[in-house]
Amino acid sequence: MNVWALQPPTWWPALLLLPAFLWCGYRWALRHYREVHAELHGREDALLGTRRFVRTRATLAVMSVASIALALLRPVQPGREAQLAPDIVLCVDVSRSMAAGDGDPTRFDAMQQQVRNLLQSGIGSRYALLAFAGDVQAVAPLTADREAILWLLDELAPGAIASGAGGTNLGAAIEAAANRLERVATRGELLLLTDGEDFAGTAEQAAAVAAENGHRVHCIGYGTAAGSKIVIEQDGEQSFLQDAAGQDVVTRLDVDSLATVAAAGSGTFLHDPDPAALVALWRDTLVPFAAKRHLAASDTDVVQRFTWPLLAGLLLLMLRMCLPERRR
Amino acid sequence: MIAVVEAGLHWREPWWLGLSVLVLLVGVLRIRHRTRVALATTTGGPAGAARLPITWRQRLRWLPGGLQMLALLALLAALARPVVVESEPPARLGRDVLLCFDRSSSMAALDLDPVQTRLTVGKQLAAEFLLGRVDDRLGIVTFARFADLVCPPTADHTAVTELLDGVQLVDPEGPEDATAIGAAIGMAANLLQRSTAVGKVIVLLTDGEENVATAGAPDQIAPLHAGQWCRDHGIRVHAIALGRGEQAADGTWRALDTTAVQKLAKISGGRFFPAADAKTLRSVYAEIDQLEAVQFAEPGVRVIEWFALPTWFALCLLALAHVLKHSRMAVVS
Repeated sequence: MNVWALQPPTWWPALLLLPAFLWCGYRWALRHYREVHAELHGREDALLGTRRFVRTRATLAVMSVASIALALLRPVQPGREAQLAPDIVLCVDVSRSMAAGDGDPTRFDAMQQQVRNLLQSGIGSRYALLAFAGDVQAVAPLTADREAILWLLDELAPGAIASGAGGTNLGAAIEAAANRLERVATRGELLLLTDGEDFAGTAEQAAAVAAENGHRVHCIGYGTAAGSKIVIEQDGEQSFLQDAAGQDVVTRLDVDSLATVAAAGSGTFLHDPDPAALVALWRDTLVPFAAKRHLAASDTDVVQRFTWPLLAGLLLLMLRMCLPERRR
Repeated sequence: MIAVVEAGLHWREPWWLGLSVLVLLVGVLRIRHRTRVALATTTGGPAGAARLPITWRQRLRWLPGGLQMLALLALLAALARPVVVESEPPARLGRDVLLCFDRSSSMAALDLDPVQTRLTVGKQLAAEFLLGRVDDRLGIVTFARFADLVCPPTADHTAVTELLDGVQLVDPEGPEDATAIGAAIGMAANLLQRSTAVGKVIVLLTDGEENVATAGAPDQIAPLHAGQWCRDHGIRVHAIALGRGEQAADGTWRALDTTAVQKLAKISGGRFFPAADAKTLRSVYAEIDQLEAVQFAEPGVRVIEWFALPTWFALCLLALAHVLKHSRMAVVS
């Protein structure tokens, strides 16, 4: 993976002095040029060099100093054994609305298929699994055993959490997921796999807190804005879930709410029925971000690349010194 | 390569110092190309100038160029990557430890503690044992008739103890009430064989005899077969037979037949431990803790890059050269 990052030392603000230094150097040279001009009355080129040559040399000097400054910021690339894949907490919505038939065939089935693909392709990441509806249930802690997560995922179904609290509590799921990561002293990615009906209304704030603590919250929406009835099976027969008034319950994907939560959690909102959508998110968004974060923070498993800009700075400086100041 | 060098200052890429030839060449070029500037303002021409006294400024006219050459050499030194190598204590290598926990109804017996069941005492002491394994990844498989994955191997020890705390007995009247030791070891071994840890250990805690993989059920995994599979995959099984045995209707205790479990432990390279009371169980866990003592990696080194020092030195020299070159000194250079 062609990932770069800078590992600036603690004294990196000192590098801000370099532009100031270059400016002072320019002013100093300009003043000197004027003094000589006043003394030699237009014959200063013989002493100070032809202006065009002087400018070329000055440009080379600035480029050289910029290259050296870049080297001092310590550019690095990942080593062969660097752990670049992110830690991921899968927060699976098991509320009854996930049984609605506007998925493939249901929202829950569509979600399961996407997660299955992610677990099969997302090698190198550690995963934790949480199930939530009105309450949150820890299904698996953070583990590198993706197959075990697959087993446990297959045991989940809409309505799997039997609790007093009905509905969906996205905020509690985000808090629990962030807590899972903090227990093992890591920062990671929270994937909220839901249809977005946030009954508690705390998701946005919880996502903002998680983002402050270094975890990104991504929302993956299932279902359609048009909505669908909730299929329930009883004694082998299928029917639709009804409310207290005896009307069929229609559940709709809350796109706006999920997009807001994702924005608050510095993550992305995804509403894509493609079974490989999560794999693409992992490959294109999560891994590059985790790799950069790893590189910026790790002293091990990184390859120092400061020699390249340093060599460039050295060669530019040598070129500058070889250039004549005036026509011979 | 760094791992075998001694602690101290080293050059990591000393071949860059070969570029000093190029620096030397630049110096020669500069000297050859330096044009002598006629002091146009001097009366009497060059002959008159030759008679003038030589000032300290003239004597030091080489200084800006010299400082620039020194800066080039300092940058070369930085390019050669001076590093300070410090030795580090060896890293602790964790194992993967899976606890296979029996939750059949017989675990409700009160022979370990007058007020707490075998299950409760077993969970408490297992939690103490697991929390002591700070470097290991821990997991839990429970079993009665079927084996259940409760927790895959994880470094989140708090989650492990929480999940262990949630383990419940099966219904004594239900179809699940049996003891499938072979199936449980098989599931645990299946989890561990994917692991890349330096050591893989299963701690089996049971109070019964295998009664699922019997002669009449050849499709079930027998404990001995599970043990052979563990041996083939480098997994050790330490087996603990919990309690005094089975209690008959008249209140007497019948000792367990632990032959299969003993063979299972032995064939996998592990140990068998009977634990008839809570005190013994605690000492058994302590002994397993000793048997599976932490391993250490080869002593490592920490490499600290020192290229910034010569680089800053070079920048300072360049700044000084610039100042000198554009001061009054330059008029005579």
